Amino acid sequence: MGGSLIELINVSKRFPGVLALDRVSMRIEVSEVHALLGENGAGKSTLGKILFGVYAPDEGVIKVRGREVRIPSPRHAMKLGIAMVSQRPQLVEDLTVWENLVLGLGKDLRRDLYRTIDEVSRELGIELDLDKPVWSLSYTEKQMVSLVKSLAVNPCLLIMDEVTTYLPNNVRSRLYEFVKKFVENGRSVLFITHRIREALEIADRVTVLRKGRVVATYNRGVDIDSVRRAMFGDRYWNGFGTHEKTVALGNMVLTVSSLTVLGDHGEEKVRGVSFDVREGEILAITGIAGNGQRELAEALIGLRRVARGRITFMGIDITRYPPSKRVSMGMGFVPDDVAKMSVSLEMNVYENMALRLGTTRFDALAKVFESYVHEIPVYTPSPKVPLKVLSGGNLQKIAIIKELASQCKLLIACNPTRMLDEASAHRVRNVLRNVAKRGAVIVFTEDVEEALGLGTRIAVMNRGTIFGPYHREEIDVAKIEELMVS
Amino acid sequence: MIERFLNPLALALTLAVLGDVVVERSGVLNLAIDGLFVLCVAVTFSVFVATSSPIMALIAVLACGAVLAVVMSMLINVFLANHVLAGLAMNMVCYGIATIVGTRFLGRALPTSLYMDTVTIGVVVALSTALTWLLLYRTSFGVALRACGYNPRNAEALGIDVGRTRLVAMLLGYELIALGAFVYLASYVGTWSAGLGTGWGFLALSLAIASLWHPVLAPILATSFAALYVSMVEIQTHPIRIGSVVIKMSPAMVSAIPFVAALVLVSILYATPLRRIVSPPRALGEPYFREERTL
Amino acid sequence: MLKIVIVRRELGLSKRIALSLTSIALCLAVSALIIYAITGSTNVVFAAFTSFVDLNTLRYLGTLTVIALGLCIAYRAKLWNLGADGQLVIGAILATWFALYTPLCSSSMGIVLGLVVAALGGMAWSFIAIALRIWIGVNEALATLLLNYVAYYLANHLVEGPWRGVAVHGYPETDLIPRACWIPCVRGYSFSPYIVAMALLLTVLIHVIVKRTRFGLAVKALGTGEALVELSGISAKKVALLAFLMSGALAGLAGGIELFEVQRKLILGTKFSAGLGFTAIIVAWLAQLEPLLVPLVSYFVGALLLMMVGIQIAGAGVGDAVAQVIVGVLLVSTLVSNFFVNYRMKIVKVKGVKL
Repeated sequence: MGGSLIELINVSKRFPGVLALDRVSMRIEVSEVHALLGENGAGKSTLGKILFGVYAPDEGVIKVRGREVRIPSPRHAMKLGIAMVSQRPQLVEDLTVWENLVLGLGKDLRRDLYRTIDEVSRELGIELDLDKPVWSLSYTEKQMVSLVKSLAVNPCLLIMDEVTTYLPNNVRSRLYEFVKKFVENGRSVLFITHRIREALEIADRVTVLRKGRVVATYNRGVDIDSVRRAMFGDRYWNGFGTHEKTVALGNMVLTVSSLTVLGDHGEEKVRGVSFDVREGEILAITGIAGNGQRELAEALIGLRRVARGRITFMGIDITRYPPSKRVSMGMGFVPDDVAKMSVSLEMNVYENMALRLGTTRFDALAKVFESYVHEIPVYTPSPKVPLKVLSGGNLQKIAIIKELASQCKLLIACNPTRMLDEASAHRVRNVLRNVAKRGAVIVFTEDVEEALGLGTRIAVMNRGTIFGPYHREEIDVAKIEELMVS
Repeated sequence: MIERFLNPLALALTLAVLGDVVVERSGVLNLAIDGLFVLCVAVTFSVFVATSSPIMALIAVLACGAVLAVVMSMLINVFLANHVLAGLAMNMVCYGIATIVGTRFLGRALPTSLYMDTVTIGVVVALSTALTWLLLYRTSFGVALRACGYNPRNAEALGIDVGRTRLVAMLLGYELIALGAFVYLASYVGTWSAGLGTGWGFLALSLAIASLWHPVLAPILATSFAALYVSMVEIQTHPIRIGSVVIKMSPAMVSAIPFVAALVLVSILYATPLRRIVSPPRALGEPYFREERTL
Repeated sequence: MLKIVIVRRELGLSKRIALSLTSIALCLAVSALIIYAITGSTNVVFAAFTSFVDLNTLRYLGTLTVIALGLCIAYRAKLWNLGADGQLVIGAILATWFALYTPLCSSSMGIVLGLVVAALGGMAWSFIAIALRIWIGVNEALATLLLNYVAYYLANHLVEGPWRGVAVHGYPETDLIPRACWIPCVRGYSFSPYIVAMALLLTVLIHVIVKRTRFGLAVKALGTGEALVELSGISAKKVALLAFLMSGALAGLAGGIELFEVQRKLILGTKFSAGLGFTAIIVAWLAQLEPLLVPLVSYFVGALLLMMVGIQIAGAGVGDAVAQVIVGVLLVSTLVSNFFVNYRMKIVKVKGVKL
């Protein structure tokens, strides 16, 4: 290895209400794969985005090849030879693949583009149609476009932020090979991930972040237990909790028959899906993001129009009902993006509760809120401050509490634990189990293990169709992953 | 028949609509267009009268467009102002300045009227349409410009400087609109009174929306609209007789018709599925701040 | 090279107030400069500023408060009603019709009925825009702007044609409305205490609606997004409709007030409204969409307007235009000061990168 490529010294970044990075110092050497490991919300992505010029650090120094630099925009980052691929492809969906690739590229770099495309296609075994609009591509293809784009600027540092999470196994292992080859001639990769095994397999060195701080840096060959301890601290992690053995099923709550739903561009995102949910059940729907889960969830609650098919709730055909009517009939919804759809950041906790529960007697609402905070701890400076000062995880918890307090018969939750640390996630899962005792729950989750741990039945979505639902005993992680990418 | 479509008003409107298409394709909601138009009309008039030179008037009007583009771009891209309010504020300032500037020469006539024949107008309309289309769909800057209108956040991640791209888009668009105002005064109206041109910017904006921000559809709508308007003005002076029924309209009602027509046109186009075919600038009017945390 | 970096921040209340005051002071300085540039006399500048202690300002306070209160509701829901000017004109047209062409205005409840008719007119006019928005998706900012012109020309058509007064010697205006419909002003001044009282009462009422009812919360939530309102079990369409119609009704009501209290006849559309509908937009934003602040800001902005009237009389001839510029500058400085409330600017040196 030949000296340090990138050096961070005491870099801090604060968002309203959270200290995302707390005096982080680390070094990325030339020709190494450096893994950045941590739980959700540990600050990994923030660090990546600072290096890529999306965020400006509040404090601290960044050095590239020993020279102190400022990176005020992604454009500057690319000029410095820093490129990034994210978990969610950062592409302009309305433009074609080619247009996305040439965007912002100088003429000299454009000449090598075809070679890069060929190289990536060969290495990953995927063909690209350059004239297709990006929205029509599969997730894997989009990730490939992102990769080609970031390689097109001849980077000396490639940041890969959770890129493998949703890739099929065969592509994933080819990508590992690609990364290893990439660093051979003096280039480096910052590989951001929350999977310990992945980090240990691919990385020359591993840096662990916890709550915005660097806890440790290990060289290749470290044992998995010390890494796990560094990542989670002393907290004992007991997985996804246990189920009660028998579930008493009650009345039919929701029936969905041959449902077809269109995406933003008029394409069929959900194709003829049918299933039903009874009282006492938790139906977990899993799959790679972008396979129609969002559209299905939105159709169930009424935020998206149904093209064909029928939805029946408590025996009533609600296919054409607006969301407000479904909610007043006893449905509850926790969306993916709670800050846009579930809570108002300008209002305080009680006002948000009042909006959902329909009473403006704030003292009564305070009591209701208190009773739920015992189950799901929410950290606010005061319940009277507007929610915009809270962290994403706490917003998520408030969104869930609101729905619990509404005593809904059917709760539809999209990735309800994605923003949460393990302890909170565990509590939320328990709460969802309790909801199922008096009603039914549908959970959309991208986390296969969560689907298995939480669902009484599990369904897998792939390209708009649904496999299952299967009973928990009929299915395991391997089978689900197979269905996800088949 | 053809001269009805290719009148000076059609040219003015086409230029303004194309300018608006360029601005709005980059994601900037362009409500300031009306104030810009009115001010440019007043500037054209004043400079033309003061210097007797159409060239000087043209230079002045282009400078005016550039200054306003820079000011609006500051408000929207640097101060992250709400597009609606920023546009409204600019309109008020511009209306006021236009009256102050124009009143000094009130009552004076243009030394010469800039006559344009049908062929010239046709050529300029076709040329400006073709150039705008080429700019938007066949240059790498056009790709960047449209990317800013679709999704500024991801465009930035792909290496675009959103602020700079929008500034250039606004400079180009505002110059086109300023040219439209120049033609409107020098070739169509020929004289000036306080408030002249008010509302025509909003009409151009409506036509741009109705044409789904497409540079080829835009001039078609603009010329048809101008033809309709010119015909209406004629009805006002020469009432149509159909049998014993005389269709006659007061000047005020004729003036109101374009606004009703524009609203109806936009509504009809929005009610049809056509708008799902041409992809509109989805991020239109959203203030964009790169560091906004996305959950 | 140098580059400006913008960083988000949270500012304390005292600093926010200080910033607002700075922007107001800045605006006053600009107005003084403009007046001086036009008249070339410092005496006129000083004379102009006496409008801040002139009771005639209350005439603007009434009208501006009523319109701006309605706009606060619409803007809280992020519904862009830019058509208050047109809704005001329509309200005035209907009030004129009521006063001149129905016998009802001489009844004891005549004025109240007339104001109700005016409010209904403004409401109906705003309904066109919000209906197009809700059911077809037409941008309501654009629709309301276009409808303003339709309203102006409708008024012009009436006063130039069918409603032109017999006693006006060919001027484009109607006859004066019957005395029974005049809202009496304080002797020697041009404002009515009843209207001021009504404006203050409405302020309290709107404040309670906005802060203490579920509808008020839903309006604010609509500003975040339709989905949030719908997922709370409230119909977003109904909230949008109601919020927008309230703003239209209040603008229409203001049209009735202008007719009964100030103009007492219908004149050309833009002359009648005198841009009050637009000025009220600035009042609403300067008041941070807080109903209780609206009368205060209305007084301030009203004083600016009165100042311009004074200059007009002083012989500058373009007082209206100057007023427009100053009001526009006031809005710009509000926008810029809002920016500094939420963000901080840092100038940084970018080294070693060629662009």
